[in-house]
Amino acid sequence: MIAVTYPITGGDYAAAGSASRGLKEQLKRLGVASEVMRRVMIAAYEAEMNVVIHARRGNLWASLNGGRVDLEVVDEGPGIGDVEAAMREGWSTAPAEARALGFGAGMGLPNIRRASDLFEIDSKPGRGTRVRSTIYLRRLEAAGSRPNSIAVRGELCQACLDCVAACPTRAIRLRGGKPVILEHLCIDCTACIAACRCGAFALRETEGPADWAPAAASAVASAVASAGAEVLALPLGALAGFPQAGPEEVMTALTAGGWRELRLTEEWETGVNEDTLSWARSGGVAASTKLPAAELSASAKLLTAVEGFTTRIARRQRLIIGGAKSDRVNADSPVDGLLRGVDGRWAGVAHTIGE
Amino acid sequence: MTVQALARTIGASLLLPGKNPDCGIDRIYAADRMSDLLEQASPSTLLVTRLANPHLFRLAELMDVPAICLVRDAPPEAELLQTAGACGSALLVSAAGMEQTCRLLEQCLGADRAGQPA
Repeated sequence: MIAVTYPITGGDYAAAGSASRGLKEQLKRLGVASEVMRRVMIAAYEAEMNVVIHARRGNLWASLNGGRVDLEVVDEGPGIGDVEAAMREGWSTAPAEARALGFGAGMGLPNIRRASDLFEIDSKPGRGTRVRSTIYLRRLEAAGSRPNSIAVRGELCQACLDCVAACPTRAIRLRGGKPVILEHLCIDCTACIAACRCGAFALRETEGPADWAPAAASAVASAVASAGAEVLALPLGALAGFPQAGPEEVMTALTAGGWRELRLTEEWETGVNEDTLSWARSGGVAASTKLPAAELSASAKLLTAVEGFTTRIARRQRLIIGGAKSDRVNADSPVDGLLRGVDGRWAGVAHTIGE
Repeated sequence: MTVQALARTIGASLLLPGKNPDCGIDRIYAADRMSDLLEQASPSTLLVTRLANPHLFRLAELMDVPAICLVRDAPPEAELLQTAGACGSALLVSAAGMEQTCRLLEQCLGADRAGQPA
């Protein structure tokens, strides 16, 4: 995961856009695809300008983690009395100064919502405004080449809607009385499997190695390589920049591309991965001592979840816990599933390798 | 169609060539609201506007816009050219107004798509 924060000063039109520009530079270094970048920039710039125009100050926070870009812009401003009205195109309270520059047309919030896969706004008069936007790295067309891990058996569904309520990303719709997963929203958290009482959701086989990895690796390499360099250092988040690829596969392809050594900049992740490999060979369930304090705190809640998860995938023999660098498991690895942090909580990602 | 070819064909002044003068333009979009320009911007879109201010060029930089065309009634101030130069987009100034500029540009792109001389 990579996270950045940029301060925004209200009324400072001269510096307006600098937070979004900083974010763009970060995401560009991580190899985020241009269409994703376009949507992120729309959301970030509109939210930033809202702070400049309406608030005293604010912050733009962004993270790249688990195949998604999350933005949060919080301001110390007057707040919005009628959020519903503010979401309508053309509704604006912008001052003449902003309108003279072409801003304040009442399109900002609707633009952010259109650019986002997930959108939230929380505002009260006198208490400022908080806007959240999530944009997934994986598009609909990419999802076709890397299907989700969840299979739907519609014939078993009793239309109780428990899965719809359980899904944290609102990826499940009921069509014709049967559940349908919107693959570009699904994060494979398996909450639907846990919620369903009639077995309409199950894990499905994953695909074998795909042929996109060399191209992905080439994109990374061309972005960061310098002549004669032998060691390629990557922030961990860079590996999430390929919507069709698992980080493990990007790393493998980079190695094949001639780099003598690849280094990830988050040491503890590397440590956990070493443990992961060790457990994968020995079997069983364990948590790494190399997890940092914040992650360990989260893992305290994990043990119960682990039991539930292992029950759900009873056919599997081994389960790995920790911030493993890949949410996909190498085809020749004996790992059957792993748990990883998603938005501060643990989610299970099961893989059907090695029947 | 390149920015240079578009400028030459419609008789616009090419004040700045941009960092990538050979970049292909396949779409134009005209508006005077920043939000509209932001939403429609793309790496192959020429933006046409009367908003001759630094924010326009910051937007262009964020969205990798290859070229901006200002129109007759909104020529850039000299100091604005510095901001424009830093953003990397090409800058044209049309001798015509907004509507006529769009009409000329569309004719150019249409002819280019059809493989005909503009």
